[in-house]
Amino acid sequence: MARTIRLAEGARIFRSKNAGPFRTTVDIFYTDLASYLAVKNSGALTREAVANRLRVPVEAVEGIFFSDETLGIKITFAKHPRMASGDVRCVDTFGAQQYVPLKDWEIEVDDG
Amino acid sequence: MDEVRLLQSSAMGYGNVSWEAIRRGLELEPHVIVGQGTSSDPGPAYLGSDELHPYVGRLNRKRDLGLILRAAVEGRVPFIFSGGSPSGSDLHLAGVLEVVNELTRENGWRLRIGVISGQIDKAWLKTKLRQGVRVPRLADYPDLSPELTESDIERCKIIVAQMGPEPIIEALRQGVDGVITGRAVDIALYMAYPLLHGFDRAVTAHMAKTIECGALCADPPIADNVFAILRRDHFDVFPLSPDRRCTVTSVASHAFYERPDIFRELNPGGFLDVSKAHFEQVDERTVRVWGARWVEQPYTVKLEGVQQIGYRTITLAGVRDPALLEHIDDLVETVWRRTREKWEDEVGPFELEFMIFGKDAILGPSEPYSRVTGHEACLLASVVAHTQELATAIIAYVRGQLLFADYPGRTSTAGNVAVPFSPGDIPTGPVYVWRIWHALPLDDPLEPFRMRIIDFPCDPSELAWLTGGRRVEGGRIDG
Repeated sequence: MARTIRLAEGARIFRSKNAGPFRTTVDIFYTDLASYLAVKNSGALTREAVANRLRVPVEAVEGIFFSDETLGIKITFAKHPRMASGDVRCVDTFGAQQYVPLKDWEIEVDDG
Repeated sequence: MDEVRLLQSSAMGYGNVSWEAIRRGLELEPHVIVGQGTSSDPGPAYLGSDELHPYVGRLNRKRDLGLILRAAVEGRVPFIFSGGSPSGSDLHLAGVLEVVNELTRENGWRLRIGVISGQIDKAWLKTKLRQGVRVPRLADYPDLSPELTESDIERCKIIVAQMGPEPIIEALRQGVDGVITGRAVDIALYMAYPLLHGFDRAVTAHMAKTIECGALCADPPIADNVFAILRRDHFDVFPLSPDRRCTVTSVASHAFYERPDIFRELNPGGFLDVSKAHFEQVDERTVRVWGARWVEQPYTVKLEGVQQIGYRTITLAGVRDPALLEHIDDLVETVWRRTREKWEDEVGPFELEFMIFGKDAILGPSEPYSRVTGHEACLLASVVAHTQELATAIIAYVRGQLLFADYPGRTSTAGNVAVPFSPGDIPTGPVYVWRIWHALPLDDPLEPFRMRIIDFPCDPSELAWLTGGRRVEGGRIDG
């Protein structure tokens, strides 16, 4: 049956950090397999959908990774022009608050 | 040699490491003590800084380095760490070495240390370009040239490269008590000793990647001391604090940390591929790891360079009136336009930015909200100009306009915004931006990295090769 969940549902860690000055990387770790698989199997995390959610061009979404071993998901994307670490419009030097638009994201999952 | 036992102890100066944990590590008879002490994470300003200890300060640095050196002396164990506050430039490496000099003098320690510079000679790098070496950028960002140019090199004040393990191995071969490097790949520091003794590159690199941030690979994750035992086909890792343990999840998930990709990481000479790695809990606090692969690639080192673009002065302006919260973009637009019109013809180009905390300061274009939704907000105005005096003059004009410019529904003719503090204009000093973030191919991994062997304590003149002849001592630099 289809239902809507927030991406953060069942996650114990939902964080972001720079992967170098020009990229942000978001790490999500779920507490249980069911929560992780609900997101992974939903097919919601495509480059296009992530780009749309983050209001960036599709090319800016550089990678979406699933790690079954750690129940983890990683999403890496390019920083906005002028907002790289240390650039003139940078207010988040470590990229530590950039996960928030993804945390509240509501996606459709199907529990079958 | 069947195994290498590594005691990890950070050289960053964050104050996470402790003698108690190191002492427990020494009881396990490590072959080598290793810690990383350089980073680009805190931003480009540090690489450009003219101060000796611009990052965590000299006292923090001295305490953490003192622990590593004391462990090396008391345990008779060689040490390897990178240093430079935290950029790894020659000036900042000299800052680390003057602290080491003071520590060895105060404690009566005598140490022969291999010192390796990570700063790149600009003339040498230009020669490489003229020989046709192509140096591509490592990120698709508008301010980075797709391929490094001579003008990039000229614009940058300082350029460093992240050395691989090879120069460190070369230093260890000279029979030193320890090695201190400038900018280096963190995992190279942990790889050098095992590679010198013929251990497998894949398992060595995965061990290094796991322990490079200390007990961030443990649960709960805090960057205090960690210990690894590397064998021919696997390694074991456990934290030295009794309050923490390594679990399969904590170790496997550390591959996520500050990395764009969880399975493949580009290093000098190859990719580390951990997609087929296995993790096993061998006791309550220890995890065993094997199965990573090393995929050979052409040898490259990452170059990092910063250009000074001017000096910054900022001012803050608090907003509480609902009418202004609704029309804050109108006020900003007016002030932005007037400031441009007033100053640009007179003084040439400058950078002017308004960041509205309460609206979209933190996320910029990624912010879903298009207006202020709370009952108050804060405007941060930033000017970057050719001189500090000019930046401050422009920001004073900006502040006046923020106070008195008109916006729809304005009643506050005695002042629009709340200015915190007096003085309200805050000069923050020189501004640097990354201009070089490129991959330099090398035929010889040692070529750009200068090394000297120095017997500590030493005369400060022996450090002058890193400072253009200037004397560095007691936290000060002459000239």
